[in-house]
Amino acid sequence: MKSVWNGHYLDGKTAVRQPAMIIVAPTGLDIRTETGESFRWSFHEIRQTQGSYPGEPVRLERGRELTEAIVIPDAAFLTELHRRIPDLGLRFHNPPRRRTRLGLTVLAAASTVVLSLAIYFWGIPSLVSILTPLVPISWEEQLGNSVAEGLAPVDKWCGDPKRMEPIERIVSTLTAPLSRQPYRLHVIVANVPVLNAYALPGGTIVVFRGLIERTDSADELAGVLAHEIQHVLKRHTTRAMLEDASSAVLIAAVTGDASGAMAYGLRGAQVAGTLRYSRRNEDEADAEGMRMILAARIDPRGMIRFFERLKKEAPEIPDGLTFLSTHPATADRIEKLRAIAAASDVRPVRLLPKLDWKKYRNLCAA
Amino acid sequence: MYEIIRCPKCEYTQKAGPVCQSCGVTLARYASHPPVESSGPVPRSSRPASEPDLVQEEAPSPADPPAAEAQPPGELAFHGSGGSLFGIHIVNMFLTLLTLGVYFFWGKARIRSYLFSQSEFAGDRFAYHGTGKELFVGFLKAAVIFGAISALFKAGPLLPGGIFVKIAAILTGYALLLSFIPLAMVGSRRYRLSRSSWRGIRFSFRGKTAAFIKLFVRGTLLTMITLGIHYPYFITNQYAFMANDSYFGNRKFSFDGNGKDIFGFYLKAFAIWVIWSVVAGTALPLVLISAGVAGEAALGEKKSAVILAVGAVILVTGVILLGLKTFLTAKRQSYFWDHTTIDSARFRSTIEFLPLLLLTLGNFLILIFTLGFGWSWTVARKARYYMSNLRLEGAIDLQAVQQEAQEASPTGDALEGFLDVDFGFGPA
Repeated sequence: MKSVWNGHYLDGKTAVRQPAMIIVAPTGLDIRTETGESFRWSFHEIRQTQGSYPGEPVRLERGRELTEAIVIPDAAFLTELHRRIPDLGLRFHNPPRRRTRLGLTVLAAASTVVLSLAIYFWGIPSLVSILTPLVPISWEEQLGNSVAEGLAPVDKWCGDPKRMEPIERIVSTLTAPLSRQPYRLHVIVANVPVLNAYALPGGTIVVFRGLIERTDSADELAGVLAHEIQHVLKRHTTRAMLEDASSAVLIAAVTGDASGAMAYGLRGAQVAGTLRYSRRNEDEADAEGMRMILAARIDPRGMIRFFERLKKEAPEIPDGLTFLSTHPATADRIEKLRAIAAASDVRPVRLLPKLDWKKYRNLCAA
Repeated sequence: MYEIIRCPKCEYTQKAGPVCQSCGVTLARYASHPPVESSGPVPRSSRPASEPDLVQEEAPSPADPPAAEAQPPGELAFHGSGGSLFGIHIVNMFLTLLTLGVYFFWGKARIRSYLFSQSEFAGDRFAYHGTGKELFVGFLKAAVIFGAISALFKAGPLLPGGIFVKIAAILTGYALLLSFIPLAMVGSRRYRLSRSSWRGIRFSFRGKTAAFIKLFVRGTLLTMITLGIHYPYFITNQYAFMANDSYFGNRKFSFDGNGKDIFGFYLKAFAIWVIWSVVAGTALPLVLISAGVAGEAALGEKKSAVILAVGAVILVTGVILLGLKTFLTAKRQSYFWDHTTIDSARFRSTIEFLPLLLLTLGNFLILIFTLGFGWSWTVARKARYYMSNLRLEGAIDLQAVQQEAQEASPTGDALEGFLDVDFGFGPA
């Protein structure tokens, strides 16, 4: 077989390439340039830096400071080198092994998909479950306060502390069965005509005028508050932030630094991914909220009624697009609430029996 | 019949003769001979009188793989394939996941190394010498620097003291950021050039960082004050700075262009943009008014027409913006290359607007229809286009090129990654 190979030698000092012969010896390569110079490179001092891909000339380097190199255009050199000196191992690429490399690449691709899915469905939620309790509640309170300032500034608050008393009673009724919980729950009714409520991290719950005016009884508001209190107790905002950050890291890890259209696409994928976590949180707040209602011996039909009103008034997202929503489909939510309520044999006690709710709910008008 | 051979010293292709017609080196000993087949190392003393063929291109042995097309002197070419790049990319993803992100830097070095190894100039491949470890250390350092700046932004409003303290903190943050962008650009170029080589000779960048920061801050402010008129000059000055202090070994690159030569392109692009703004700005309200005149009730029926009109305007605006951006890229890049020289050789670019637009649109579609997985192919397509449209005309005295490698820290490169200000030019 061939033992003398043509190539050229680069001395690392000038850009002139010297045609050279490369001869495979048992312990190294003998290099002879046409100018009559001759070197022996031992295998252990040679690094192969090019020639692992089809069509790429084989490039071997020696030395760190002034790197010398030989370039051999014929990749058969590597095959022959491995045939002659079988114990070279991975120091030199072996072209016949490219099929194995292709197989390993396919395996890596499949593993990447499996690993990503495992991290997304199991790894991130578990990691976040471990991390969330480590976040101090004072941080959550600080964050909650700064958000509350923007969402419901003090001059938009409805009701003086005295008028807020019935709502505080609902909250204390709800939390009474809990043995101990670390949050100072604080409800703000904001004079904004929006049918919505937010649970801020740290215990502040913002209910907008638009929502409270559409409740027909204290039970209905209790349902909303139970849901929001569960968001606070389960620390869903903190979870969401940690999940958002971890999924960003996951995507960055998988795709590297993307720019332009690619970056927007990836951001979209990440948002779609975290929305699933968000719907899971809503489900949890619904279920735990309903259990809270039952434990407090509040009529569960109030919560269900209010959700039905939501379903009627708020435009429903088409079935195929629910994956784009932060919340699960309202019909599914109502069904789950009904199932939990039906399984219980609690006899409800009327909430705030002396209060005329239909008058009270206009507390922002005063 | 006579033989064509290529001088191994100066690479002048010529009729075989005793001496090279170009540089005068003795050629007789390089004339074609059948390659020597031997079963073992040939001791120097017993070598045949006439040495085996050393001019590879002239006589490929039958065992050779299909010979790569010989490049005419001065041509650049990219040989890489999207498929191979995809394979590297996938393995990088896997290892990055497995190492919780740490391998990312080694993967980045591998991608760069592949792209360099697949790039050829005058028959020889470029080489990339950067390592993942360097990039990792650079990232850690850059993260500390970048973290400090963003902390300044975040902490600004929380600082005790009056509004002036807060404003001062935020302004300091902006000033730092404005000087960090050029710092990152220079640092990145210094690092990347120092880790690139051709024929074993390293490239380098020797510009003074402080000078570039001055140029950049001055240019940014002037561009703002002149409402953008200064921009073509600013971008040309940046390129001039980057090119003029770039070296191949001890040979310097030079740039002899001037911002006024590309000013016209920017003016043209701006004029087209203004015309379109006027057209769309009058047409769209007209459509909306004519729909509105029909009354509130009829608006429902015309809703789809209005949506269609607004959509069409947005789409055409997008196409025009992309077209203008590509037009400016093509004009600017080919102007910059055409005015870049090394020794007595000058670059020639044949980058043109329409092919570049098609390339950009094609890459965009590939990304969309493969959900991003076609990224590797878009990179290969881009590299192939840019390299096949660039060549160096004239000779470099290769004898005179001496190695003069320069040290460079990878921090700037990583910082550039944070700031996302890849300037994207270079001799490789």
